[in-house]
Amino acid sequence: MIAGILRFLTGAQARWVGVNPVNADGSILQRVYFANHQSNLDAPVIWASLPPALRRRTRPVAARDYWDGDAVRRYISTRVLKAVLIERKKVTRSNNPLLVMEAAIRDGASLILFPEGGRMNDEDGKLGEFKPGIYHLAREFPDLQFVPVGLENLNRILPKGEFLPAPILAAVTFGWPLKLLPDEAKPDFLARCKLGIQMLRDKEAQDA
Amino acid sequence: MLDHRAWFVVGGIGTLLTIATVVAILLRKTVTDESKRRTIENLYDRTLSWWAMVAMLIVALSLGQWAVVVLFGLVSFRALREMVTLTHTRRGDHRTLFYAFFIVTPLQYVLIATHWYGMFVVMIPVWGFLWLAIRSAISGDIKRYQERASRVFWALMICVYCLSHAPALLLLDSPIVEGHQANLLVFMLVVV
Repeated sequence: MIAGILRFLTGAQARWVGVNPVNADGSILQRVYFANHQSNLDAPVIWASLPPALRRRTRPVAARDYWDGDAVRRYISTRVLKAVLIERKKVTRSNNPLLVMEAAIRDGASLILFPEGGRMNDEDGKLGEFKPGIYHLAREFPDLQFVPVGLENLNRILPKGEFLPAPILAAVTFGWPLKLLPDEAKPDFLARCKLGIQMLRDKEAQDA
Repeated sequence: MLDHRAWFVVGGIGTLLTIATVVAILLRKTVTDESKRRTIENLYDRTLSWWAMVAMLIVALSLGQWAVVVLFGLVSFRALREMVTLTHTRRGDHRTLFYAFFIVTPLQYVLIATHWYGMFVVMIPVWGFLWLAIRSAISGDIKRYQERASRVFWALMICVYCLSHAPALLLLDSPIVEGHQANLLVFMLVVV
């Protein structure tokens, strides 16, 4: 139901251009969805735009310092989204974000990941630098599909630092899945991931 | 609110739509050419959405004035949403947009529902215009300020102010149309 409300509020239209949500025989693949980060609504909106069968198995990766902040946020992140909360500020050996994410994947979950690490505050919506975590995951789990997701207009619905939303229509585009090539270097893989999102956003701008 | 003359019109529309639906279904079955198929799918979708529009309007009209006002309010909201999505706005417009969607639009329809004619004809063009322009100015972003202010304003004028005059027909107070205001609305919608 919360997914329905979210979809209505953001008018989020999910478009699967590069990959089908579910295989032809109805089976589902374990994936890592990675997207550009514009707003606190990003993770909930991607989660809500997945078909229910996928939604149950998909967990957003979110910052503990924000999503564990108060009772409401804690309820949404742990009960509704079943988020994988990771440490951004005080990383130690025991709470290393990578280990937490790897544990969730071994548990059979798909992840929603924002490799920029934080919300970009740029009016033009340029992509920020990608953090290397996604590369390490790709090396650790070579069979996972890494699906780029392009988000549009979410920074207009709920920009950084605002509390009240403007009900503009958002677009969520799922692109062509990537895998780490044999011997592919870290910067190359990160660049390919970034390009995967950039392509979707350029396409979206053309179609609009 | 519909009297027997309005039902004649509704019956006529229903007959036309039935013919259109039958034609669309037949075409869908017979035509195989790929490029033509897309046109026909489009026609079919449109016919279905016409049915939906007619059904919603009839339900609203038979429920009474409030239902009609609410229906048009929702149409306004959705129209404004589409329009603002396509318009380039900046970060500084965020609060302004919030007010436009959640304060100005509902207020306009509340004014209609409460028959406050003197207020609803000036609320958006005078007060709304001033307040929203001031709100955008307070946000401190001066880049293309006039362009941005006029875009939000015109979106409101067309999607909310102009559209809200359709249900406003229902509160027209004149001996000629007394009791038959709904016919005026149906007539206008059919003509448009």
